[in-house]
Amino acid sequence: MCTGITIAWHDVPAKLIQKFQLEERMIQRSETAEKEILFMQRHRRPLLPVFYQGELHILPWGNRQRNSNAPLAWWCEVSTLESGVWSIYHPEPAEIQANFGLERGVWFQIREGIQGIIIHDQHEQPYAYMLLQPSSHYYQVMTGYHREPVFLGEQI
Amino acid sequence: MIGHIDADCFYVSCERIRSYSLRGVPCGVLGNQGACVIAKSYELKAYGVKTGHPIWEAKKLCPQAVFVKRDFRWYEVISRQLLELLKTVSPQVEYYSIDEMFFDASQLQHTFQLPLTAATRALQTLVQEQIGVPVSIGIAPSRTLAKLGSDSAKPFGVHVIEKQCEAFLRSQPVGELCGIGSRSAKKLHDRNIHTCWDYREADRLMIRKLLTIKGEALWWELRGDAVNQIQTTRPPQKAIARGGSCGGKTTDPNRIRAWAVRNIERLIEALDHHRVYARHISLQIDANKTALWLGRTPLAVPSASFRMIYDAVMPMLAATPTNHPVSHMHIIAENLTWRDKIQQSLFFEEAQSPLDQLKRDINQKLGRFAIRSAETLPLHEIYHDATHNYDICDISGKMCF
Repeated sequence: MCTGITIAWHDVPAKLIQKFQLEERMIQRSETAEKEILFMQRHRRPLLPVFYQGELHILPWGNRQRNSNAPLAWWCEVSTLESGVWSIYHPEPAEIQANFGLERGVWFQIREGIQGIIIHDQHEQPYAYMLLQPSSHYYQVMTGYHREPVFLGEQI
Repeated sequence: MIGHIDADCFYVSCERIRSYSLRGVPCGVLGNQGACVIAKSYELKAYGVKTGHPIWEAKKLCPQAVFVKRDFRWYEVISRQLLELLKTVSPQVEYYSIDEMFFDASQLQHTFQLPLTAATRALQTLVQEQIGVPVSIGIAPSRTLAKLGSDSAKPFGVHVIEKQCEAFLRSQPVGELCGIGSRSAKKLHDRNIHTCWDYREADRLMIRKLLTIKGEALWWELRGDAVNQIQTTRPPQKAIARGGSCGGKTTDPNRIRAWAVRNIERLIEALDHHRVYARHISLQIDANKTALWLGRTPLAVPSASFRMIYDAVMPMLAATPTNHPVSHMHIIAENLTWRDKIQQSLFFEEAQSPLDQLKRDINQKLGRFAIRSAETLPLHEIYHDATHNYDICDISGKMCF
C-alpha cells in the first residue's frame, strides 16, 4: 500500500499548518524544488490531507486506537467496500490531496489525488482511509507491491 | 549557417510543463514496464542515475527522486509545437528526433533584428516562453558543428561556432561526434586521433578508408563545409521493426508465440500507417539482451497481410533454440515498397485480405486490439491492463529515433 504522501506547502492553509504543527513535516527535495509537507503512515500521529465537504481537512490516517469503534486499519480495499462490509460505518467519499506518493522506497507522481473514505466513530471523530485496489502491472514493477491506491482520474 | 536545437531533458521538461510540482525535483521518467529510467532531470543525473538504470538502483542512488510514467503522446504534442514554432523563424526545418531539430539559421538575425548570438538567445527565450521547454542551441556553418555546439552548451546554453574554431574542436573528444560510435572511436584512437581537431587535421583519404564515405562527410563538416544538408521530409524507411521486452524472461512456448503474434499485429499497424508493404520479414530473439537467434524469410509478394507474415515468422520461431529463456523479441519488415507502387499478382493472394482490412477498420473504430488473434490470449495481463500498453515513442516524420 502507499505508505506516505506529500502535498505542496502552498496548497495547505496556514491555519492548518499551525494547528497541526505541520512545519515539522516540511521537506524539500532540492534547493530549487517546492516545499512539501510529508504525511507518513509511520509518523507518531499519522495524518492525511483530505478534501471533504468543500474544504481541506487534516484528519487521522486510519485508526489505531482500540477505544474507538472505527476499523483498526489504514486503508480499505475497494472490493471490501463494494461487498458492503463497511456499510455499518456509513463511509463517506473523500479526496486525499497529494502530489507525490511513496511505496516501498519509490516516490511517484500523483496527478489529482487519491480516493478515500471518511468514517466517524462513536464520538463523531472522523478518520480517513485510503482506498486500495489490485495494482497494475506497471505499478507492481515500479514499486514491487501488489496493491495500489485508487487514483483520481488516472491509473498508474 | 545551420542551427541545431536540442531540448534539455526533454521528457522531464514535458512533464514539468503540466506538473508545476516537479520543478526542481530530481525526476526520472520510467519506460513501458515501469522498471527502467528512460530519461532523467539534471537534478537526478547529479546523483549518478543514468538512462537505462533500473528503478531499484535509481532509488538507492537518490531516495527522494520522483518517478513519472512515460506519456509519449504528450511528448509528441510538445515536440510538434516546438517544430511549428521553429518553422515560423526558419524557412527549412529538419525534424531530426523528438527533441532535436536542425534548421536553416540564415534568417535568424533578420527575424529578431539582432546580432547572431543575441538572436539565438532570443529564439531560446521564445521557445522557453511559448512552449515551456528549456533548449540548447548550436549555430555553425555545418550540421556536425552545430550539433557539437548545442551539446557543449547544455544545459540551457547557446553556442555560435565560426569556421575557425580550433580551440573548441581541441576540447571535444572525437567520440562526441554524431556518427562516431565506440568502435569507430577506438579505430581513430589507434591512429592517434583523440579530438575533433585531430580528426579535422587527419588525412582525408585515410579517414575515408577507415570510416567510409560517412566518415569523410564528417571530416568535411568539421571544416565548416556543409556536406549533409537539412532534410525537410523524411526519406522512406529501409525497415520497420516492432518488438522489445517480453515482460520478463520466459521459456513458455505459448507466451513466446503470443508475443510473436502481438508483435506481428503491431508491425502490421505500422505498415498500414506508413502505407508500405514488406518484401522480407526477419525475426530476432534475444536472451539476456544477447542475440540468440536471427532468421530472415522473403515473402512471395510484397505484403502487409497477417496470414502471410504469420506464416513467415512461425517457422523461424519454431527453429529458435529452446534451451535459453527469451527476454526480447523483434519482428522486422524489410525491403519496403510503397503500396501504390507494386505489381499486382495473378497468382498470389492480395497484399492485404478483406479480413485484415475489416480488423483494421474495427480496431480504428473501437480501439487498439479490440479484435486480435486468439494466440495472444496467454498475455492476458497485457491486454487487460489499460496502463500497460507497451507504447513506443514512434512519431512519424522524424528522421531518427
